[in-house]
Amino acid sequence: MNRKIVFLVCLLIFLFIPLNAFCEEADDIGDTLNSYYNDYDFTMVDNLSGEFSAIRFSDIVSSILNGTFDSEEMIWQNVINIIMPSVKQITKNAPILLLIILAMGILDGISTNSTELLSHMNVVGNALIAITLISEFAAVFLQASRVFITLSSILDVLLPILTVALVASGAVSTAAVLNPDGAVLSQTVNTIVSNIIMPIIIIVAVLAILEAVFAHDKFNGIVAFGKSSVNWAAGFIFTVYAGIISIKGLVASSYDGISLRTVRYAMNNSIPLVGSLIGDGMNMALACSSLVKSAIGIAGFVLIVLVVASPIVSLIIYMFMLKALIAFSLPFISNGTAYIMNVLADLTKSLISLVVGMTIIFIIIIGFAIGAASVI
Amino acid sequence: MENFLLLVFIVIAGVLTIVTLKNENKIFGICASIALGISIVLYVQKDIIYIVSIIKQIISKLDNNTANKVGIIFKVGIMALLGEWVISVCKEAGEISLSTKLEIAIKILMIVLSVPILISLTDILISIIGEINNE
Repeated sequence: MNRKIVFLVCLLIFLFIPLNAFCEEADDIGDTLNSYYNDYDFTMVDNLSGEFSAIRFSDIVSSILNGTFDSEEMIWQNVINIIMPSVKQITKNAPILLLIILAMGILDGISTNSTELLSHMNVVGNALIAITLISEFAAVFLQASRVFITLSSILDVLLPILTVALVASGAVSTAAVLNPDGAVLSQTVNTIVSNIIMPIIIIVAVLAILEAVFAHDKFNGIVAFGKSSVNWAAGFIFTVYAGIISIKGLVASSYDGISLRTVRYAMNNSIPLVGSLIGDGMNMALACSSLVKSAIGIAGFVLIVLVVASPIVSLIIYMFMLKALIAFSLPFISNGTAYIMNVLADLTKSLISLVVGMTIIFIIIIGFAIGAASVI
Repeated sequence: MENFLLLVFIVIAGVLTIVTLKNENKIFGICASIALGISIVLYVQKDIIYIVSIIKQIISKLDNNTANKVGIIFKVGIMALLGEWVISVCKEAGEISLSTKLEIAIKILMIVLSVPILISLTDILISIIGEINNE
């Protein structure tokens, strides 16, 4: 009887010994990835990306997954196409400004300054320079303001997709940190920057023009205070935000890593015979989800680069144009003109730091989403 | 260079004449001084016309709106220079009160001329603040 039982057990064991091993082929992995990719609805992000670029968001994700993503073609060509018109628009008035400054300098040099008549010419000249400069400043300022709104909209439509991708790839804690914590924090920063810091910048610019054109040494103090307030506020907000989101993200990411390792260990060791097979299957599913999640994140990066490239380049060119005008026209320039140009250059620098700071915040959020659950 | 030397020679001769005339008769001295001032301006008249033609050439290359605004700067500057000269003539003649009134009159004329620029500056500042509020 015992021999029969032993024989039957041996037979059963032989029956379960795998005679062939099947590994998933590349086409099957591609199909799996495509099925994962098709689960997501990119309509809203596609509509948003269509507003400022010819590339659709879903095309970027798809090209990343297919391995056909060409950064040069996709990013740089588009960025150059967006940047060139704004560069021409900003620099077109530089020769006129130089002409006005030269005219004022020559007339000032001819004058004997025995009367106050020439100071009125300086008022008119400064007003004309201010008109030209403030129009361009308003243009770059509005570009920067729209960047904040667009970045916010991107996060609004991208975060739900990323949250789903994070949960699908096992990064539940990171998903919980990013949505709603990350979203709420980034929206708070966006609101503070858009509703408090940006209006201060424009008020300081207006006061600087009034100071240079009409009221000599009346608004100096307020302008200096406004400039330093903007810089301090921006530095403080971005440091605190980056600190909070980094700590939360790192902790959540580590927690997710430990959870996934624990689940895999438990599967491998607790379920007899087929534990490792199920564990490997889970790995496969998580890896595919993680790949789709990373593709969505990288496409988000590309979208952010396309949004911020043009305003940042416009701001930098405007700032350098002001600095170059000051440098080239220093022998002819009046104090008022130099004051307007210096204040506007400083405010442009603050705008650059705000746009860059906001971009870094959004990149940190997406970066955490990409990096989460990468322990598979 | 020849023109410059001629100008220097005329001025020195004129100054010597004025000093001599002032010792003889103060009114003649003042008249001579004013005449010398006018003749100096007339002497550089051709050069002024040449400079104005260059300015016109430069302005003609600009678009209408910018040309108008840059033209205002040149007009105001030239008014300031000529005004300074007339005021100095008045002061030389001892008409301090007249020179002060003339300065005010010239300032008013300059303000009238520069009104379009000042109005457009005010408009731009108001529209920027308005746009920020709308955003």
